[in-house]
Amino acid sequence: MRAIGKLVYKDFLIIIRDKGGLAMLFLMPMALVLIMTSLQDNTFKAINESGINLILLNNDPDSLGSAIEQEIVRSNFFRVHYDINGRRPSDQAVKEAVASGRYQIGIVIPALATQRIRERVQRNVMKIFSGDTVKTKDARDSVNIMLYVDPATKNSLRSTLQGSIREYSTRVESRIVLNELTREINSRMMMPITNLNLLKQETVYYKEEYVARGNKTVIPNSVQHNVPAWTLFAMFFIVIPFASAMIKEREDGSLDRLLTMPCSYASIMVSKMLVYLVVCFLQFVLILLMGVYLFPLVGLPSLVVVGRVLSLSVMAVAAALAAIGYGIAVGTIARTHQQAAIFASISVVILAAVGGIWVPVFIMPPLLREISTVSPLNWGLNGFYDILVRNAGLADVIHYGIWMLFFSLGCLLIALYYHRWRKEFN
Amino acid sequence: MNGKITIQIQNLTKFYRGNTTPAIDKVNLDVHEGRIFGLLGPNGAGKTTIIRILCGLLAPTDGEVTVGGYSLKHELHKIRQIIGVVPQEIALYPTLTARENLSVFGGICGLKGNDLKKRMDKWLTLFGLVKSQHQQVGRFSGGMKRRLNLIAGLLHNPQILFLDEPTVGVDVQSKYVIIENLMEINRTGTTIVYTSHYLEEAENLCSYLAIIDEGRIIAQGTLNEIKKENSTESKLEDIFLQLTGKDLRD
Repeated sequence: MRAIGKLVYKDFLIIIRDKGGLAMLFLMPMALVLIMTSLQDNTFKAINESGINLILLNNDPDSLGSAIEQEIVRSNFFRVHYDINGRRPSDQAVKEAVASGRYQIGIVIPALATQRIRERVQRNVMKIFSGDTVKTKDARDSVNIMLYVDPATKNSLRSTLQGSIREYSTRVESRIVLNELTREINSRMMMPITNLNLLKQETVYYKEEYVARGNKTVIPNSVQHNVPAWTLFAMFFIVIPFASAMIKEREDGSLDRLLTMPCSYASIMVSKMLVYLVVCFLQFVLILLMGVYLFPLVGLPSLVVVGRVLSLSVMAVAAALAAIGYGIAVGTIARTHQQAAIFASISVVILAAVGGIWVPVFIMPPLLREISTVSPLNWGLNGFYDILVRNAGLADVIHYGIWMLFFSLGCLLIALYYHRWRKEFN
Repeated sequence: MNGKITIQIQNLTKFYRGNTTPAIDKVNLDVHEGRIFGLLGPNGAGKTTIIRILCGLLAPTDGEVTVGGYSLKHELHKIRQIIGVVPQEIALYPTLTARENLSVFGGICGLKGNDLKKRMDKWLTLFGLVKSQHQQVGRFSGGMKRRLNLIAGLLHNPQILFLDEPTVGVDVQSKYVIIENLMEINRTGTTIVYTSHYLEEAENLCSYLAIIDEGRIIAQGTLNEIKKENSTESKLEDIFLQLTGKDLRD
């Protein structure tokens, strides 16, 4: 026990004497969380606050053109432009402007689009009332709305826009059908009826609500989503300095000296775990404080942690132990600093990727979804999300913490086994 | 002077992974209590391998070893309590001061409080490091580091002290202080196992010598016994060259 006390003292001194390294251990994770949260928050705002430049060439001043134009403007998704350099563009100019990246989306509504729909509907209504069958449409019935998309624009946005335009045009077409039907019925009946336009009377509504445990409503924001994800990611990056410190100690012979003294490899590792656990926990506390107090000052939503501090702390300790355990395994097995740095950084990025730090697990392919269940970052992320956005208590997430502790223990055992193997067979 | 055997090595063999020739080949050695035992040999002869095995840092492939009466295989934890090791490398923490380094290593060896403080004061004074005791070791000269490296291994007054080339790369003054203090430590009863390339130093310091080459002990005894066995009155260096040859070693 006394040996562990002295080892902790030594590891603590080594860490605090390296001022630059210490600053990086705290400032870099904070910078990462701040930047990533700001980026995600701004992306969210960009989509919601007319951030996407759209050039609209509406050659159809009738119902269809007006409806699409109105809906696009009303959606608030886009910053809508009608001219290029003060002049009404041609179809080709719209295409070129999008290709140059000046606009993310270009929409060209052809002239007489509504008129063409109306004529087709009229012909069809006439045929229905005269007992003829409606033939499949011919080429002159087609209305082609051109949607030009900058290749840099996300597919999801393109799909959303396509769906919306389809919805607007269907609505306009239905309205024309009903108008024509009304007109035709009135011309054939003694007693005229009012307009059959039933579309104005919406009867089906939907209401959206974020639900969480305990019948509480939680409004998630970019901060609640991003802080836990990037905090975990940053926490796992402790693997690199940790493994590097271990290799340095091994290379300069200090580890060998310790191993000739009355202390075991396990106690040397436990000492490092304790010191780096404090570092990781302080990282976590600083990031939480930043989320609560600094984020609102830079225009980000505040991180809400009230009533969740204990649960979050337990998860943070478990995640830190998992990261440190991984660092011990890497530091023991890697032979050089280069091996440790490359393997640790890439493996942490992979664990983060499959763990759902960048993209949610539910949109991953089935195989990756299966793999994600064995990533400690996924356990940590689920635990943090459950606490922060699903209103879960400690009892609800403790199993994630236990899994991370087992992961840490597993890594420690691998390291001890490997150390013994090296002593035996090297 | 033949005290009781404190280190006994029987048929010690060590193969490194991937090597078909042994680094240590069936070595038998007895080290008696209170001796300064010099283990000499050219580069790659197996000196450091033997020291690392005796300290428990490497496992032997075959053979039996006891240190201080304890079996290396089964009682390593007890061996660690009675040995001190001064490795070839400067095995110190460069960002810690001299005193902090000694406090860590002494504390791990069970020293504490006033006893630890007194010992640190004594050895820092003897090795001329008092003035620099609060400086970070990274700023020390090579000789100062080497002296502190030695103190870290003997601070807890071990029964057996292993020294792997303790004077390599130091100036004459530092070497003199180190040798003088090693002799003093030995006089208080500590058995010393010592490896070196400096044969003149070994000749003056060691009461018993073993010469190892290609993993085998090729001569052992007191300097006089070795001279007698090789029918020469030459210096140790000449006998060494006669036994190990003049070919360059890796």
